Amino acid sequence: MMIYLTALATGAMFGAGLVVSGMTDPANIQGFLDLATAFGPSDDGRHCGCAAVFPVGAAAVE
Amino acid sequence: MIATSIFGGLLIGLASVCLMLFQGRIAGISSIVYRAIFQLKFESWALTFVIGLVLGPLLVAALNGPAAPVFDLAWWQVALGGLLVGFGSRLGSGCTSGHGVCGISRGSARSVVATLTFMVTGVITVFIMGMVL
Repeated sequence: MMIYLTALATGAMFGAGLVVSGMTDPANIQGFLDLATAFGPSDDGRHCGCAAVFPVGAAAVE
Repeated sequence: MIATSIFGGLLIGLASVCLMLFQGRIAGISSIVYRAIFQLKFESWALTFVIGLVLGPLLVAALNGPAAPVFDLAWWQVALGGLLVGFGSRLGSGCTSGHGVCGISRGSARSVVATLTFMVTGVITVFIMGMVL
């Protein structure tokens, strides 16, 4: 039973993280991958970049 | 906002760590979805995880208002994109979550190669799409 509770909770946490960080929005992902405008005033890429960096650090803690 | 992006990233990282801690599994979303569909008999928790994956964003929407992704495309273009994502992530043994978040953090050479491959391919694709569209 415990295994299902933790699976449900971690799934919900992961999904919420994706939405909160804006990674469910295709425009954010395209902005992150668009080198032509990466050095322009667009903030989308940087936001997405930050969201991409932090999970690496958090997972490294384990 | 940059703060909310960081907060979202922290949630994803924390969820990945929890999954490893409690389930002893890598939070590879494409692989978990595959198990939820094709290996339900042995990996029944995978379906519960996928249900949570849908419930999480619904909870955020209930608290914070709907934030549905905007696809400025025809339905068949979205379907084709989804098909390519599914095919490619099975072929590459994982997607951005398994390789990019968990794999690189654990020092997996295969994940570094996979992540570099799909990042570079993604940049090239966006560049070409920008010239065509």
